Amino acid sequence: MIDLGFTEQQKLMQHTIREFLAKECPRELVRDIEDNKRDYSPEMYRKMADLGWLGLLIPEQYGGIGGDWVDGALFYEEAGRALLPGPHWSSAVLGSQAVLTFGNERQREELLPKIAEGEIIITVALAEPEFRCDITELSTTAKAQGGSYLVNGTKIFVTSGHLADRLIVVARMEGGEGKAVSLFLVEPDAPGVAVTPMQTLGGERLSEVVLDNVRVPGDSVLGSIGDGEGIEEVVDKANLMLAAEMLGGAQVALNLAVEYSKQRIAFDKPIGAFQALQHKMANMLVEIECARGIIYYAAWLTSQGRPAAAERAMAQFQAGEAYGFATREATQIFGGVGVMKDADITLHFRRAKMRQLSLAPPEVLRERMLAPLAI
Amino acid sequence: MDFTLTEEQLAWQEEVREFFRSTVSEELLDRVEEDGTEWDQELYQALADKKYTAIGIPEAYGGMGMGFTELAIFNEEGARASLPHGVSSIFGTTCQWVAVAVIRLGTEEQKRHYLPRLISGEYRVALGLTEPGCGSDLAAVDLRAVQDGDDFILNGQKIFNSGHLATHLITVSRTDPSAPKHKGISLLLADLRAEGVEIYPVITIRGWKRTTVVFEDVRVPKTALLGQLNRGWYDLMSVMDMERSGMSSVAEREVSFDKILQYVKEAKRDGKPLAEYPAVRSALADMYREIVVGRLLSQRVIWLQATGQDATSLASFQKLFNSEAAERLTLAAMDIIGPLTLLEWRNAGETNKRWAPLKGLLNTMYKDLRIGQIYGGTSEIQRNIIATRELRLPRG
Repeated sequence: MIDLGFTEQQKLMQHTIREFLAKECPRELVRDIEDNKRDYSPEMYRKMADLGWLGLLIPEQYGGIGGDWVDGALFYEEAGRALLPGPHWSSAVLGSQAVLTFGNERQREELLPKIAEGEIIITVALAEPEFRCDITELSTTAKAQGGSYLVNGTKIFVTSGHLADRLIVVARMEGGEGKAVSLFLVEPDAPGVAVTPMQTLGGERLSEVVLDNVRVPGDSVLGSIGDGEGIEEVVDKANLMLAAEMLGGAQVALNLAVEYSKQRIAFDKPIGAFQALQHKMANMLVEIECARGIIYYAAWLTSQGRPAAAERAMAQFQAGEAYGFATREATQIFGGVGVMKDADITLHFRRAKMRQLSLAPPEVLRERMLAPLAI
Repeated sequence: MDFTLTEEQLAWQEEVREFFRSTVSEELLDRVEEDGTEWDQELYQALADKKYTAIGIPEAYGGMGMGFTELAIFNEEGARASLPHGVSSIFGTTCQWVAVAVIRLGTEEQKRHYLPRLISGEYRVALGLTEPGCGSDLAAVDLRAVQDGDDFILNGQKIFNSGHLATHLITVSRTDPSAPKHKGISLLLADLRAEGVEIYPVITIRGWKRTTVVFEDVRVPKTALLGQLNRGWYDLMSVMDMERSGMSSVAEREVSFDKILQYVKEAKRDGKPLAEYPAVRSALADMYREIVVGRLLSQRVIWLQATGQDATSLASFQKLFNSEAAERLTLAAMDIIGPLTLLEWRNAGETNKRWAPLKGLLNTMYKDLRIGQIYGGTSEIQRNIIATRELRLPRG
């Protein structure tokens, strides 16, 4: 039976997360990280581990709380509202799901509880300067040598790369094993690995990872050689959480604009009384509700194990539109204040573009939407 | 969270789909499109004979007592079968609007009189809200109803309605011109067969017939007053929660999209199927995305209504989004298909009919662009509603 509401448990979780982030994730922290004064708050990360949120998407048997993608979306909507900084997405979403999907039993048992505990931070190194989505264009290579592998290549846009204790490096096999894509667990301090964080528009740092003849032991292949092609689907599911995050951010942008426009007086009226601005804000809300609907629908489909690649693409696209539109319109409503670095709205303005560009490119998302139509 | 229908609902969907499949034929659709009436009396009677006219009416009043979800399934399947708009409009007003108003506002006597006749198809009601001088500002209605003994005497006009297809007009009338404008309005279920009623055609850009109903000293008995005298505005607002998920308009858009999709797979431009052009693919993806997103908004309205929650704001969101998405789809599809969409199909010669793709679908949709964003609350009014009611912004 159709039920589009959250369960009581989900409502409680939403409330708890919102309260927690209001207290533990103040703007000062977000700004410090923006300014690269610190990288993240290990203290807050520890507290999130204690609350079980690092294991939100990890099954109970591996030390998580076994939530589904709807729970994840709900968490990420709150994270987006608070501009939650740190490696949660890289490690607790992308990293954990990669391990869960591809890892063998030993690897799952070893890594997942540690991710859930916050003992290790793990991330995926996939993108390359000339590769985004077509995995056949991957240029990072691995070559079998003795019982281990030699990995070479340059990865870019690695999220939380500079914080990670483990990198899951995606590479294709050279030589006898064809072009099979495989996943390698690499320690960032291994010889030949150079991780360099880069400043970005959105404040958070993204890393370049250069691998120069890095030797990876045979038992550090995640799963088996040739297992790695499905990594794109894992990234896609993880990106759905970013869509939910954008939704939360878009909602805050609207809230800020509404509050400001009720207070700011011009021509003897609160500017929110002018229809030109009212209609902007109404449009923002419609965009947000459109995104909300498709995000939770895609999350539900994904949790049910139904085909949902098209809906996930729609959710990500719609979220990018909503966050971008809401923050551009909100900064316009803020007028001069909307260009000041200290204004909260500008944090969202920059974050919106950053998040949208970290998804698959729009034309790729559109092709995914069309796939079920067989055209 | 769960997005699936129950077994019973799926069975209902199948039943209704089969009904429309067997009653709404291609020939019927062509005929009503050609003559501009959008009406078929036999089809309406078939709905009544099946008691589909009673699906939203509680069992205590002889209805089927179905919920909002079932009602929306019915409306969606009708739209999917391209149920002519005259039929769906009269059906919606009569069975899902006036029937509800009679139940909520009517006296026992009115219920006994009207409900069986609304269900049987004997009474068909059109909506008499808009006047030549008032649309969005509905509370400014000027049609006068003056008390005289056991009657009201009506003078004035209602426009853009389906009066020619109806036996009655739910007439929003001014009964106290001296009171503030919201406090002098009453709802009258005026019989259009009464003396002094004249009905004139209004032809829309699409070629549909709509009407202006002119009342000149028309006597309407006081027994036709629905709700309290001079409280009509508030009564009207209280029954505005009828099914308005917009699922029908999404379903219509989906049907059009499927046809467009089929066309671009086959049609070629400069030797290459249209569907192979990247810009075309991009536009198709946007159309499809907006259908899925629009459907989810509508589904949410239905769910809110079915669970007794306030759906006012979301009904505005969906109306605004879906009507504007229909415009985007139409314009993009016309750009893709090109000048062939200029060819008229309706009332046109053989050569036109041979060349006009999809029976002039896009040509018609272009003519329909404005209607969706004007009737039932313009896009601007929807934005006002969202801004003041949902976002609580100050009134200007």
